[in-house]
Amino acid sequence: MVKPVLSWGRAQRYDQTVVSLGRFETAFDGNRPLDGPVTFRGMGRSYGDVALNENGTLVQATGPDSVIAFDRETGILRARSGLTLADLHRITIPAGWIVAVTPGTKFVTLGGAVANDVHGKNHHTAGSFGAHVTALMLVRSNGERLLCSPSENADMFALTISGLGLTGYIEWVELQLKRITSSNLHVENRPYADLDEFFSLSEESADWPYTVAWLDCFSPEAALGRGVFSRARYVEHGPLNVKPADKAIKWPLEMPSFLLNRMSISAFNWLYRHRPAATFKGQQDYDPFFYPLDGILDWNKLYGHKGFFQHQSIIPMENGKAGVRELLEAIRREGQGSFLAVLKVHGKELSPGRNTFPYEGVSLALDFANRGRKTVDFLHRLDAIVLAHGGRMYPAKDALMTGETYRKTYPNWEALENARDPMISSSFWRRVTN
Amino acid sequence: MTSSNKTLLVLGATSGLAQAYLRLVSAEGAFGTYVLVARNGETLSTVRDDIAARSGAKVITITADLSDPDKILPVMEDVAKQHAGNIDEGFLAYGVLGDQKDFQDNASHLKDMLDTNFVSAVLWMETLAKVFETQGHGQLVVIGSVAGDRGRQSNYLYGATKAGLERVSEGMSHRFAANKDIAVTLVKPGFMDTPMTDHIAKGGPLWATADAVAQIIRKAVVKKRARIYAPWFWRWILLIIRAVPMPIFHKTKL
Ligand SMILES: Cc1cc2nc3c(=O)[nH]c(=O)nc-3n(C[C@H](O)[C@H](O)[C@H](O)COP(=O)(O)OP(=O)(O)OC[C@H]3O[C@@H](n4cnc5c(N)ncnc54)[C@H](O)[C@@H]3O)c2cc1C
Repeated sequence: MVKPVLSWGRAQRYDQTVVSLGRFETAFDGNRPLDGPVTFRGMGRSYGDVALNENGTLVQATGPDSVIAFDRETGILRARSGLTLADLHRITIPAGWIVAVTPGTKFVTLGGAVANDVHGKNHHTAGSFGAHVTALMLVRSNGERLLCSPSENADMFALTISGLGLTGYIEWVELQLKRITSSNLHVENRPYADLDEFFSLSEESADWPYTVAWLDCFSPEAALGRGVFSRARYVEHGPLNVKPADKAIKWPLEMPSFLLNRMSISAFNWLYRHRPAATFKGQQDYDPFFYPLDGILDWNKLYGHKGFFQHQSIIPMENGKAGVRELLEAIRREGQGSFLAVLKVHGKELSPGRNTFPYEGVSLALDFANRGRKTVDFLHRLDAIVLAHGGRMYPAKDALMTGETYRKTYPNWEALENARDPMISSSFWRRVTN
Repeated sequence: MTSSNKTLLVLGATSGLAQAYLRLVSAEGAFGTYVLVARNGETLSTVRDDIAARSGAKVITITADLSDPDKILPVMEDVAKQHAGNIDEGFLAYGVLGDQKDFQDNASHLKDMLDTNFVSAVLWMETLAKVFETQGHGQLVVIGSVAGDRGRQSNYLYGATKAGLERVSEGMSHRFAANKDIAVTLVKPGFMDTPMTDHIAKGGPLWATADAVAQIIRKAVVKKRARIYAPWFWRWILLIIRAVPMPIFHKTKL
């Protein structure tokens, strides 16, 4: 069925033939070939076009989500790639295990988490998702099945982790989970005054497994980068509770875009900094701590029918402060604020992924309502600042970077192109390799 | 991990609804043993691994063609051999939807469907009723359909088998009315998003996921309800459909 499919940011909408996984598998023998190139789609939580395929075939890979094996003693779990982290936790948390690395939403599949090699608030201590993948099964369009692990087909393993779904269908993933004795974390939130204080707090909190900061884009010049710093660790003794499936509410409609303007964002930021939780110290359940946005399904409709863009960049440590400062100054000048500006210091990458986004440095994630040409030009200016400081953008969030920028900042892209399954491509890949 | 010593027997364990129900009760730790029966051995072993991993409980599988009346005895013997204890709950989830037009034209296809959906299902229900009587307790869940509520040209043959199951389970509820430890629940799902309906274009407010229907069933089982529409609004839709006078009904193409 040909239909329009949207990116999570809703700023890109392309026509594509959407088929189920079964249809992909029957295409192997060549009897019923698929139209054009193929892209796999998990939960579609990537903000840009890595899981879109304009005029091609989109294979919905969320169907098979069964667990193949779960060892409650060792915490090794093997499951079909369509399993989401939300479902995985319903199985593992009561047994005292949690995924070692999680992004800011639990509605992602194992396949999507591997393909983008996602990272979380513990990147500085745990690396990206791929650092905890012990094996995976890759199915190529010629019918070949490749068992990949650090010791077997290790090259393909390292190219599939952070491989943007281009090396083949990831059939199952095996993970080493993290032991927990409670699903509660001890959380400390603390407002901070400026970028200098953010960096000193990050340094001082290096042995806290989870750190992140939310920042206010419209702070006065003197307080550039001020925000709320948050750090956390699991408590030793407590309940092992899982969030039930049916507790989220759904955002019902696209908001008129004029509601998001400088005034409303400033008001939001003020409230955020001054709400009681900004100085919260105490225990919090893992779910609201890791997934504050998951309480409202379809929150991406908040930005109106033109959608929005995410922009996440990382800048090497030595240029970190200067780079972030320049980005924030550009945002101030433009007056295009971002609701959810997230700043984090990253550690050394532990994942074997060859094209994994983070490295030792500082990352800044922002979102901007799509106001057409103006926003596109502005985001390209942000890209230029990142580039000038030796940094790069995250494909999972990107919709706009040029091919030149991508190829320059991901020098291993060619190895991925060489390992790419000839039947697979994506809107993102065509955009950045042309 | 579960400490339950209860046993669930699922007939047609590879169906979308059965899998959703199995996952739900696995997460609850409601059973210590699962006996799963289905025709397709390969899919069945995927379900076995999944439920074993999710529940941490013992999972027994038996590959058998449930529509064959001659297989009931051997399957029950096999169950007894692998599992010495009681069967606390039986979940009857197999069935074929088929195509009304095809059934009208092809008597042997029609007979197969009637055998699967009705004849064998009733034989299984009676077999389990006897087991429950002998052990003194037990709960039976039978999947019917809103299609059984009124004969409509688009699928009255399938609908008739589901209507038949409703009469049987109604009678059984009556039969065991005096016994608080034996209960029968007939479930009537509406449009459901499962592999059985993969060929139909879906969407819209009337479509429910198998997970949602499974949750409704679980609640009904715990409350020992005799009959339930899933979701609830089908009760009112069908009330209207049944109430439409025949002359008007016959002008529709439903
Ligand atoms: C609220 C929110 C917060 C987020 N926070 C973070 C964060 O903190 N850190 C972070 O790293 N990311 C974050 N993300 C991004 C998100 O984690 C990634 O985009 C993730 O990869 C999405 O997974 P998905 O299942 O939705 O995959 P999709 O977006 O559908 O697909 C992602 C990629 O995986 C490929 N793919 C999917 N399944 C398969 C398969 N079975 N075989 C082969 N390829 C496959 C696709 O082709 C595509 O290239 C966030 C997103 C949201 C919406």
